[in-house]
Amino acid sequence: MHVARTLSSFFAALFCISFSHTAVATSLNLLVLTHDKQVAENIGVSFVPKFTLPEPYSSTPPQPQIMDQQNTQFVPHILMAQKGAPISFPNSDSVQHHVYSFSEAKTFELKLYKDQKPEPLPFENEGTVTLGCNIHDWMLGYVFVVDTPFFGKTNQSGLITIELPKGEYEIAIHSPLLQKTDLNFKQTLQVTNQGKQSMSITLSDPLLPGLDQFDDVDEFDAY
Amino acid sequence: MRINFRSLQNRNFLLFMFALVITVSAVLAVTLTQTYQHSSNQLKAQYKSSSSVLQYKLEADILALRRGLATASRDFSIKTLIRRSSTDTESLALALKNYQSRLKNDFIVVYDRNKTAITEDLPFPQQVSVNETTLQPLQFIFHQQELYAVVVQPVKFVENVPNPDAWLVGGIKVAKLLSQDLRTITNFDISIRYLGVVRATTNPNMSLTALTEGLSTIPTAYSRQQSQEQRQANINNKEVVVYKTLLSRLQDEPIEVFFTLPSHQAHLNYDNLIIQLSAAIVVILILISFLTFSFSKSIARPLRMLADVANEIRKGKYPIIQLDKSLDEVESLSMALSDMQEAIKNREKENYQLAYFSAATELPNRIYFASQINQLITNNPNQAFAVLWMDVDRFKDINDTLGHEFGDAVLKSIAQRLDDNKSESTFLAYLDGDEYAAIIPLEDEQNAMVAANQLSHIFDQPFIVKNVALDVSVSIGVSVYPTDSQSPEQLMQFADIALYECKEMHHNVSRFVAASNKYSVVRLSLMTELKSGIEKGQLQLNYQPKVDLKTGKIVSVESLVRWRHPEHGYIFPDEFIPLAEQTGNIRHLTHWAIEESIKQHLALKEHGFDIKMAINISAVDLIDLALPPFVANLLSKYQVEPNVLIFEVTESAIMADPEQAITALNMLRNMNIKLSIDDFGTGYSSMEQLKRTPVDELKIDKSFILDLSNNSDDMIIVKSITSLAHNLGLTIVAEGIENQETMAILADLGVETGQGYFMSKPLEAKLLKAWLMGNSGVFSSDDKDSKHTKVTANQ
Repeated sequence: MHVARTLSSFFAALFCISFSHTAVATSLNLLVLTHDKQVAENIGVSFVPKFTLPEPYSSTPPQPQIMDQQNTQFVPHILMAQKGAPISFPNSDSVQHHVYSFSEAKTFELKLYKDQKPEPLPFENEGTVTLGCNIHDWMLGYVFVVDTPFFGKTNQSGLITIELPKGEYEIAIHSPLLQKTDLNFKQTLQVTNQGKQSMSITLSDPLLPGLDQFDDVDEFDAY
Repeated sequence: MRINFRSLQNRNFLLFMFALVITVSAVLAVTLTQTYQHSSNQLKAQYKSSSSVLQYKLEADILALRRGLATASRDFSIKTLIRRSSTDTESLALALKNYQSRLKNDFIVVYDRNKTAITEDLPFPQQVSVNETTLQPLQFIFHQQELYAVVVQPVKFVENVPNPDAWLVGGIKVAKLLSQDLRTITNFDISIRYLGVVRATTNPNMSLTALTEGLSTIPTAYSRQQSQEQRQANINNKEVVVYKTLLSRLQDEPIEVFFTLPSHQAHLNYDNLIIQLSAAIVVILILISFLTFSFSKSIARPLRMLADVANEIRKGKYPIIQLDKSLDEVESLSMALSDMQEAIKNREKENYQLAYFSAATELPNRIYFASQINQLITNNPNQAFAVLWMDVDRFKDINDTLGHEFGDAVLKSIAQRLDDNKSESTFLAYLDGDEYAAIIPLEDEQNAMVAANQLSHIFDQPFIVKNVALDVSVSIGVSVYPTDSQSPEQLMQFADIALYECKEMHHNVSRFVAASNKYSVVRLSLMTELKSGIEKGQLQLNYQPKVDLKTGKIVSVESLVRWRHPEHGYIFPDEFIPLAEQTGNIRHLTHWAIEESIKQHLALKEHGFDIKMAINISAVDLIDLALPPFVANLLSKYQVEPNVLIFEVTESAIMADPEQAITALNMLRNMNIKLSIDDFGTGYSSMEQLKRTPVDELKIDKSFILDLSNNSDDMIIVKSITSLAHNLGLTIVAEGIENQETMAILADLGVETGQGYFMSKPLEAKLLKAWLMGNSGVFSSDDKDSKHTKVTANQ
């Protein structure tokens, strides 16, 4: 259920991008595998262009993002956002939340009362912002702020499909479960006008355990 | 006081005491050991639970701190203050102070994610593990000489992130953890030592320096293993029991925990026990002392009694032995003693029998007899009595002819008959050989002979011994108390003398007369000395020449014995020959005389004198059938012809036992020894006897010769005898010739040989030789007138 929602928001974002660049973009299929060749799900991937983006990309403002709180969980658990994008923190729960972050990229604190819809907060700096709720210790969310409009998260099959204009990109991956060398993973990608292009990334190190706990929380939520 | 260890009683008592002390000591040792073990075990158990209590208490305290810190770490304000600490450290520090006072701990320090201190200058404890998943229950740091228990709490800005954003480290002084209530609960004083110094204790009254010093005797152990060994230490001059355990390690140095308890408290019961047990032991010792003492006494008392009995026995008494049946051993000892006493009694009786009775006749012996006389005199000096000395006549014949065994039987029969016929007051004894003795009390001394005769009459009936009827007669010598003597020895001696008299006189009974005692003492003693006198050369032979009355030639000499006694001077044969005959000693004398005579004959022969040797032979010698072989031996030994010897035998000697005498004489005659009847004319020999007697010569007794020249009767007798002898083919010797006239008469009468002082008195061997040399072996009467006078004057 949770996965379905996540996917729906992902496709919504993808839809927006595809509308902007119809004629000149190449569709890239990127597969992310864990170190033991399993598909790696929910891994954020960013494609930072190493060239000046042409129109209409250069003039398009960053896409606003939403970090919802549902059933005392951040939804989505991992949120990708372009630098400067406004992120709104709606409270879909019937209980109060106290969302905060002490991360360098964005330090903030929002006391979210029931059904309150505060103004979106601009995330000006690149980096990882760890979100917590002062009231509910179990709530954990991540916002990866990247300096590119091209990003996405792997689906259940470990796949990202993205339309990229021709040019050179630096690929980075984002997940709280990464460790060691994977944290600084960088790979260059040359996008040509072939219409379709595909590649795969294999992680060097095992992922940290931890995804399960969110499932546990889901269970708790369903309670 | 010196204890006599050789006394059974003391030794027994000491042995019991010793055994008791050993036993009690062993029991005491075991009890004390067990008790000590028990109390030690209890103490150990107590220590173990105390150790658990301490562990629990420390963990509980730390848990409280951990919880407090955990709360602080989740405090949003604290998180905010930590986030902002780079700009506002003061606020954070104050906030933490607030928590510190809430948690009642000693410090809370914040470190950033790189473990750099934010608030205070307290180095992050390298020794503390910060792995949040395996947090140790108890961790310590040592800071500024203070030991702290610490809790490390990670701080995560968002709780569920995997990595901490900061660290909270809270510490509490260990000294604060060792609260007094621990002391109350555990009963121990608990102290913690690190780096050899005691850092904390539950005992507020004890200084850490004193503890450090006191416990310094217990070395630091690096082993992880918990030591449960009980130790001793001295703190502030007080003995304490110590247990030690390892609490933790800090920078490789152990943090040790000491559980101490004053010794008197630990072993309080133990001391009491010793006192109680000792008291009980003293009581038991006293009781058992009494028991063993009385027991020892019960053994020793009968033993002492028996010792007394043994002493009595030693003194010759025969006490009645009380059988002590209290103890088997003592009883058997008393019985043994009793048996021993009985055996001694019997043996004494036997010894008495041996000492005082003769085995052969079962009559009292001489010793007993003597003591009986003594006792009679002592007990009743006024009672007269007779001492009888009895001798069986010719007992030797019985022995010789019928054997000693038979002789012994005869002696026994005699003793039996004497004993059967004696009056009640008569005391009988068997002395020796064939002699008996009796003591007969007398109412009147005159009755002595009557009593003796009565006794002799019991021999009138023959004795039947082994189917042989035997006539036995006795000679009895009698002495009387108190008339004859008042000394027992003398009484016996006098009776003995009387017995000799009796034999000599051929009477049955003779009474001692003082006159016969004149020389008797000397005579009796002489007999004992005669044999040794012969051996010592006190006796010598003198020789009286016998002259052929026709030619004057000296044909033979008569050997006459002289005894030169060292005390009595010369003793003449008359004095000792009869005694020697009676005692049998004459045999030795005769043998000696024959040998001496032969030697003398040989000595004279060397000088050319062939002189025959005449030797007196007694009746005893004649009876002794050993004489002929003895003589034969001598003759062959000295290579002498038998006709050199002339044996002169008295008429009475032949008459004493003519048969035996004739047998012996025949044997000698057959040996070609010349035989002569001495003292002829004084005896009562019949012509028939004379005819049968194998002699060659008659020697007319000097009583017929001495006065021959003046007495016509003697003349007729000598003439008749000479004629008779010549008719029987015998030669005649006349002795006792004292003048020439007599010699001439005898020569006229045809008497062949003469002997007498006129010719020569008996001469010693040396003088005889000289005399013979002087007259060349021929006596000339002309030369002898002056000499004759001299000799007679000397007599």
